[in-house]
Amino acid sequence: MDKTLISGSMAMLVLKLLSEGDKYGYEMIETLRQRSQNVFELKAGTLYPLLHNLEEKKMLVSYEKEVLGKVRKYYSITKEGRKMLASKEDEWRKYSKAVLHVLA
Amino acid sequence: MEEYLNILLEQIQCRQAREMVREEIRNHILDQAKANERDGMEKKEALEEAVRDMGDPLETGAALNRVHSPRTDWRMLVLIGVISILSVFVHAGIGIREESLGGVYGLRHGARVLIGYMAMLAVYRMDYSYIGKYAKRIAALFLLGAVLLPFTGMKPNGTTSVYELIYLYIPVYGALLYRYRGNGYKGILKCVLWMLFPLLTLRMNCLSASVLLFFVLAAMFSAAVGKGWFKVSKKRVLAGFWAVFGLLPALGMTAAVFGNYLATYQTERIKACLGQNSSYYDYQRMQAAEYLKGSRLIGGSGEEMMNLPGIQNDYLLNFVANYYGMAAMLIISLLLLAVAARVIQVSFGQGNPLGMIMGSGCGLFFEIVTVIDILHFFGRIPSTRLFLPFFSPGGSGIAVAYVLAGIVLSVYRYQNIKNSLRTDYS
Repeated sequence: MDKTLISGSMAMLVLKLLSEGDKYGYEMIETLRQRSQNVFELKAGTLYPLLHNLEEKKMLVSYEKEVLGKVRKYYSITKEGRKMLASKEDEWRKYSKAVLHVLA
Repeated sequence: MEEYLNILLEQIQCRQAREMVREEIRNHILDQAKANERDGMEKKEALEEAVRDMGDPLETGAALNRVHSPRTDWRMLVLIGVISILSVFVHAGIGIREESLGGVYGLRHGARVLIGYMAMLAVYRMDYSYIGKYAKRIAALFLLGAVLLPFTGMKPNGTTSVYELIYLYIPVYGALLYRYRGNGYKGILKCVLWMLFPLLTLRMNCLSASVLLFFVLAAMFSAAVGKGWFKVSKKRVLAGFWAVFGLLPALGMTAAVFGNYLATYQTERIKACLGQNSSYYDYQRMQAAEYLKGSRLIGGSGEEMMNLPGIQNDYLLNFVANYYGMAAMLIISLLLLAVAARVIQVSFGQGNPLGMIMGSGCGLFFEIVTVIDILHFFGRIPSTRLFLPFFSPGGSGIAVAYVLAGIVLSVYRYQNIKNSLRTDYS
């Protein structure tokens, strides 16, 4: 699949995953892989800069938590993050609808 | 894996950010490797595959570097640069006008401003979280200094005094508040005890400075309590604190004034502040208002400014208006208020609570001293002997202003690497 199409919406997908509960990086990649039936093969090398960037913009906050003897860095969505997710989702729905109309 | 991590981390300039990134990425690779093993790969193969899965370390490293690069607050650097240049000009003017100050007066001030600006740049490069780490030790040094200073025979008053350095306690106190976070009423008690530092500095004969310092610390304390740092009943603590510490000093001051415990000039000043007649300071105040009438918008009034002591201190702005015109005075005041506003904006705009409390204390301080000097200018309040940041002469006042500004710049610099700044100190 075309790379630019994915990267533009990746922030939205990450926010969506986190809106369902706090997760750490690997967990997000796994969930995404399963849900998109392997269409989105999000590289970890893309994910972490994206997460840190969203954190800087205060869309996410992170905290460390020990699970089974391993310290993991969890990400949690903020109020602003939820707002951004809502507007991005809205945008995406309009866009995909328009695309379908054209293709139909 | 280590090779991959090293290449990636080499791309990140900021030392503080590297460790955090290393830990996170390493964990990810190990998770992926384990999953690969579960899928039936050999241990070595699983790890190699996991690393390959990460993608290009150069690209990822560069992307992370963009997020985690230290930021420079150019707006503040330029703002303070302009202020510094104006400050040098103003004092060169005073030096020419007041021959009694000696020919080197203007040059000496210029050198101090230059050193101050460089000191600010040095502080700005510093990792401010160290102040948090060593907060108690630094604060103890301040206490020691305040206790010992009166015995050193150093002159407590006058423009060369060192007492202005007490304002450097502001960011240290912010760090103390941060350190006692979550310690409940015990933490509150300790924070209140550390707040008594200005009481010690009273012995240095700088009443207004001590009162101002106390007020700034009390405001910072209230902000910390209000933010829920101590996990106690906010309302009860704040009401109790202000009842005791707001009323007591007021009562004490009144008793001191009417019981004649203070030096005559201090009593006179307080009386004048309270709107009571105080022949000398009222005269000074009215004189300032009188000169104001003669000032023109641009250019000097030609009127000699006499009988206004402290031309270099409290009435510096009056001198500026008298010598260069009202417009110059307005520009300087606005620039100083802009610095205070920027400091507060930076402090609240970033996520680290340590940076927030330290910076907002500095901002409040800049705000108050500037406003007080503007009130002097209009002859609204009598002389307080507080200094105008970046403008008043005297090495310690200049040092304080630049160091505080440097700390705020450092807070701005590290705002994107707050997670890696070791501010948990556990």
